Amino acid sequence: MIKLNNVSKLFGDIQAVDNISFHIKKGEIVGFLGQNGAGKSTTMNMITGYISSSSGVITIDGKDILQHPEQAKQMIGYLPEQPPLYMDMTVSEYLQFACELKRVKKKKIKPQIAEALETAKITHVKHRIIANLSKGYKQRVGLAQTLCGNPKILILDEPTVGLDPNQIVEIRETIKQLGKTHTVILSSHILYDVADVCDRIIIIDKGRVIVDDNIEHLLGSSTDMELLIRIRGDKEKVLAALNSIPNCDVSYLKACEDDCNDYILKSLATDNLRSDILKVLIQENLPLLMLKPINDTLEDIFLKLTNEDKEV
Amino acid sequence: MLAIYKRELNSYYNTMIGYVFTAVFLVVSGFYFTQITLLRGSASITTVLSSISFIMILITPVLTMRLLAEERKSKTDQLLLTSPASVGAIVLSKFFAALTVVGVTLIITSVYPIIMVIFGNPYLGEILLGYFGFILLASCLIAVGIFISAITESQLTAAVASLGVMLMLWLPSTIMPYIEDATLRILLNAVSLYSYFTAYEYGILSLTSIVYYISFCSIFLFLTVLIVEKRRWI
Repeated sequence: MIKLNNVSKLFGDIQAVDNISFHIKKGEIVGFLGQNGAGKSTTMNMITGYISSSSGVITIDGKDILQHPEQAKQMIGYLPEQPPLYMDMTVSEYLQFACELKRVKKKKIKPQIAEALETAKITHVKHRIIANLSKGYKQRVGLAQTLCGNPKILILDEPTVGLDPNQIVEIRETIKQLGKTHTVILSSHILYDVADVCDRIIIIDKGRVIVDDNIEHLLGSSTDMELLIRIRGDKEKVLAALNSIPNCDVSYLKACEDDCNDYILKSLATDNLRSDILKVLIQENLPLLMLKPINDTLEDIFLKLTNEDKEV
Repeated sequence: MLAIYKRELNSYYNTMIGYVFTAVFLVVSGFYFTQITLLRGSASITTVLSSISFIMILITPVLTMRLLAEERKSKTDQLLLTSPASVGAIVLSKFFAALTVVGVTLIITSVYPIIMVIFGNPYLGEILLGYFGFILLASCLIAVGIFISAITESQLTAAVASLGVMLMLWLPSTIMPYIEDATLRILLNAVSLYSYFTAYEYGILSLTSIVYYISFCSIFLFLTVLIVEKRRWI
């Protein structure tokens, strides 16, 4: 559906996007991750035809965005980082304008506006002037705008930025629903947004794609298991007991509560680790207060990947 | 294209800009009409139009300053430029919206010729020609204003710069009579927007001025399209 082939963008001497290529299939929801200034918005602006690429080819459903801009743009609904709203219009006037701009047939405009209002859950504010709406509602009006013209592809640039936690959850739900019927690219630097909604993640750093994988793969990529455990009892005794478990590294983390200590256990053979710990502790009569696996979160992976590059 | 035109026109009348333009224009033209036609008893509406053509330098920037500058500043250009509309269509829609506001204002001023028809016997051809010339002149000023609005992100900068440039286009017509050097005259004549209005003032349908105004306007609209396009390619 969306193909990028060796796309680069130079702003003067600054290489904003450096030779990136990927292919997004129909129906995928792709998360576009990166730190601020990594080149996410530039890439999205190139895909939507707002700016041109310095080199490389971008095709939307087989149509080159620079050669056949009208046909390609008709397939895309774009919500830029700052929603492109005309503050002097009411919500329904604005959506009417967006529909006309996207050449929706006259008969279809009304039902399409109603549907967009419904999906973005803003039907009750449709007669209000956009300038007077809260940030969350403005964001939704922007989202409703992307649905005008019934595009196959939605490109959303940081749709949850600046929203309160409730609004973030709501917008995320809406995007999830939209993902069932659209191909979606969603950029964010908030990883939970992406982990929850997307099938696939593309991480970009300094204009280059450093990861392009699905979420399960990314999360499952760390092989060893780490456990955080809290045990009441003498530290030396506990360490001796834990050290008797085969194939595992024990390290003392910190003291907490009365007479309790936290330890971290790392093991390559993950199968029986937890039952082994219990057996040993019962033998030694040491009460176990907490046992928590520490998996790499998406956040950790993200930080690791983007920092690795810096160290190089 | 129609969508952008309609939005732009609505926006003129949703905000004060459209009304301010019309009001100022009517106050000034009313003043000249009273002075020239009613008090001095002249039957020539073109003299009135010629007198108020100067005020266009002051109020056209109000119409054009936000056209593209504001779109860029509020990032709404992202909606326009990622829509199937071409840059040419966007610029033309905005141009015609501004021209419509001028047109609406001129229609209101048709009260003056109507008064003249009731109380006198003016030559209608001359009146229509005067209006035609005035619209051509206004088109050129709007084209210049849009061009400057495309260069900057700030409405204020656009307004002040437009005012400056429009003054420069008016000044040559005032110093032309005192210049003897032929080459300099030709050069000044090329950028003297107001010199070409003299023909209409005398009631002459001048092909030269029509060609000049249409070319002038087209060149500036074309340059505007280039500026917007170029920014996307940098």
